[in-house]
Amino acid sequence: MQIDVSRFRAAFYVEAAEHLQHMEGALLQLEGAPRDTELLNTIFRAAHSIKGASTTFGIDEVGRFTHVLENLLERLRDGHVETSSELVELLLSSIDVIEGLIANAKDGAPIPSNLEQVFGELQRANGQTSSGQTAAASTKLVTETKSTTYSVKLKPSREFFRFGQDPLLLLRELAEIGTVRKIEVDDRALPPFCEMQAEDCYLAWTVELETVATQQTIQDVFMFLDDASSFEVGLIDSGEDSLKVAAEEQTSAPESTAVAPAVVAEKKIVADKKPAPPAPVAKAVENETVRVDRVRLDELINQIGELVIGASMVEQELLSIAGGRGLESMSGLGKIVRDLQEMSLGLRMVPIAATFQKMNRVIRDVAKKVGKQINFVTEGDDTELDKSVVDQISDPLVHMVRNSADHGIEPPEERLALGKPAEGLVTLRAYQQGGNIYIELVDDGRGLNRKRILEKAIERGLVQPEASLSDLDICNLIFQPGFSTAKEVTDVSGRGVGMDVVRRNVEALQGSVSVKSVEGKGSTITVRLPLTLAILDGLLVRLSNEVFVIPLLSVIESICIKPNEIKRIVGVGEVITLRGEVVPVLRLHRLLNIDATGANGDQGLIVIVEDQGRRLALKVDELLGQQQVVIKNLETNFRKVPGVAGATILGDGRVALILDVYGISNLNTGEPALAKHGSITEHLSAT
Amino acid sequence: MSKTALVVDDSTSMRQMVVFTLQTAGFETIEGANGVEALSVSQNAPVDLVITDLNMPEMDGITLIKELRNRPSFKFTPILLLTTESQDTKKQEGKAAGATGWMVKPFNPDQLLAIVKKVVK
Repeated sequence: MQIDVSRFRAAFYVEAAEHLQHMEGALLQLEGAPRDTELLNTIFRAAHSIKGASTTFGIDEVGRFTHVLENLLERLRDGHVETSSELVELLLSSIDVIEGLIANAKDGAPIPSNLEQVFGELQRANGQTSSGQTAAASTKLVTETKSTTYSVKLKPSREFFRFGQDPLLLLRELAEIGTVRKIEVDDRALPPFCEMQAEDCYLAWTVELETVATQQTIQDVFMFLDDASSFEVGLIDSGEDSLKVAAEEQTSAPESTAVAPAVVAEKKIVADKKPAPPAPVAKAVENETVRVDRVRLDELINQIGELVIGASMVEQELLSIAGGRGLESMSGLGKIVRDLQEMSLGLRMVPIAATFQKMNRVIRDVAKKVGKQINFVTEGDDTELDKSVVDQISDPLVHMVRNSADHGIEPPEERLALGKPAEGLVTLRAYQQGGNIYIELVDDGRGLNRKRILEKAIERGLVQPEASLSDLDICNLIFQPGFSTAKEVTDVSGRGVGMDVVRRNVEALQGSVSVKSVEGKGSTITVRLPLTLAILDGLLVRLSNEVFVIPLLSVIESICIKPNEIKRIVGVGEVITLRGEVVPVLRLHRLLNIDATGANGDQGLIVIVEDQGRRLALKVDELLGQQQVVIKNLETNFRKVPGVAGATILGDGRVALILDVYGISNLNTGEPALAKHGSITEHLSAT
Repeated sequence: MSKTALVVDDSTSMRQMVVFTLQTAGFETIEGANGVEALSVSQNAPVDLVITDLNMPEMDGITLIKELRNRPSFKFTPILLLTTESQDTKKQEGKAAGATGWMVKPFNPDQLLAIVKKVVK
């Protein structure tokens, strides 16, 4: 039978990632508690599981590597090796290597470059010098082609049946590997009927077997014999001694024990009676879970999104045709549909704990590299957010955390001189407020140096020398592309990818990022994220005949203005004065290339939106209301359009574009992007 | 009548593979991710074969075998232990606990069925 095991690999990748994560978490704790058996067991078990499954599914590189790792972990667990920070370091690198090897098997990523080095170090730590590690040892026995007759004796123990064994099965198996010439039953041990125990085995057998199979094959038949049972395999027609007991052969061929246990008449093998460490009992009862394919879940959520749209279309149609009849039951149905949608979105929510835990490692590595002492604290680990958000927030967080450890926290001497404790404190916390998730990274380091930021910005031409910027504006300069104030590029951060990458990533998630900082006291970077990427609270606005959605997250307020309130300032463009603050006005008609005839000129409505603490006034024709919309990806259906975050289908079946406030503010300085806006909606309606 | 196998492993991928292989060979299967789960799912189900992993959270394979052997309905049931080559002492321990046999990881479906055939009629 051919069964392709590769089909189980997907599940293996998921669980291997989990195991590695557990290992890493436990390893980091191990530094503080070097002899914690529970931790050691967790680490060992994770490595062991990975090894077992990877070799089974044919990912041999992982199996080979994990095997050596496991040996070391075993020595560590049994106290033959002491926990040291070098060792933890080595084990952490091993996790990275395994991760890399799995990525290699999964996506064809390049083999980790430090594979051989880490492998070598593991072997050295194991006290091995040779690199010849072969997996399952295969025993070589001389193949005999000519058929030989053996005498096979089987004497089961009295308790034979209680091990789930059956002599009949063994005899049949013997019959399958050759021809049974003769079979004799030895019933001398059979007690009188009245003393007989029905569940015990009293018989023994001698089989004359003619076969081309090797002696090893015959011995393998009895591989599961319990200790009290015995068997003998002997040659009959060898011409020399009529009965050559296998036991003697086995002592001279030690490698054979690797495959079949040497089960012979008098068992000499003394089982290692050292009691095994007690099975680790998980402290907390974990929630029972069912694994579901991500694609299937997304499809479900997507379909429910369609259901919501469909239901609201029916509702609107009922309103017009039936004059309200049937509306009551329809609104009942509508409520169920919305509840269903909420529940379905909950399915994809996962705690951020795993991502936070990764940061632990990042901080540790950076601190070690640059010689700093950092206490890393996480709060709100169980805050839940959409799986896709969690996946995508990881990279920006790594960057932020690195920055704050590398640039934010001062070296111990400097801190002591400033009267701060030598150990810096970095706190990463997550919490939910309203429809948003906030992630805050707080450090008690040196804070942002405004003067240097400004100098750098001027030097890079990001700011005009004479411009007067608010404190917030200066701080936000760190999110500008190509901005890095680190005096020298360190190995850790400052490799040209700056905080602008963080901002771009966060904004791609419909979120925003801002920084607050007190010089000498520390900084707080706040990332605001939507709970989910599937739906969005939007403000529906009309521009001529088109409806657009502005994410409510960005909307501050909307105001009605008089014609003469819009002023023109040279070099800045159109502005309005809002409670003493000058706010640039963006005419969406112009930016989105919409026919403005019929638009109400300088009169009408302004929506004030916020982008990184900066305000913008968007001129619209009408406010249509606030609505939760299901986000449809524009890129997959059409192409990426600057200033547009996505599209949605309205209750009446029309397509509306969702505006991307950051993109819009960029458009203001460039060319209109939607040269043929009409074609997008037409295209989307047609699909 | 088809036979029922109880498959116990905390690794979903391994469990899926064993289950799939056994199902292909005509077994009905019930599953548990650890000893505790296995004991609970097999409470009222007649089981003809048990395949269990050794290292599992909550309750390991050895303890599970002992517990099962204490149940009258599992007195003669073949129980296979999944081990790795490094766990030779565990095999002995498993046998002492009442395991019928073992299966050394890594194995492929054919090897698994060959072993199963050794212990199931």
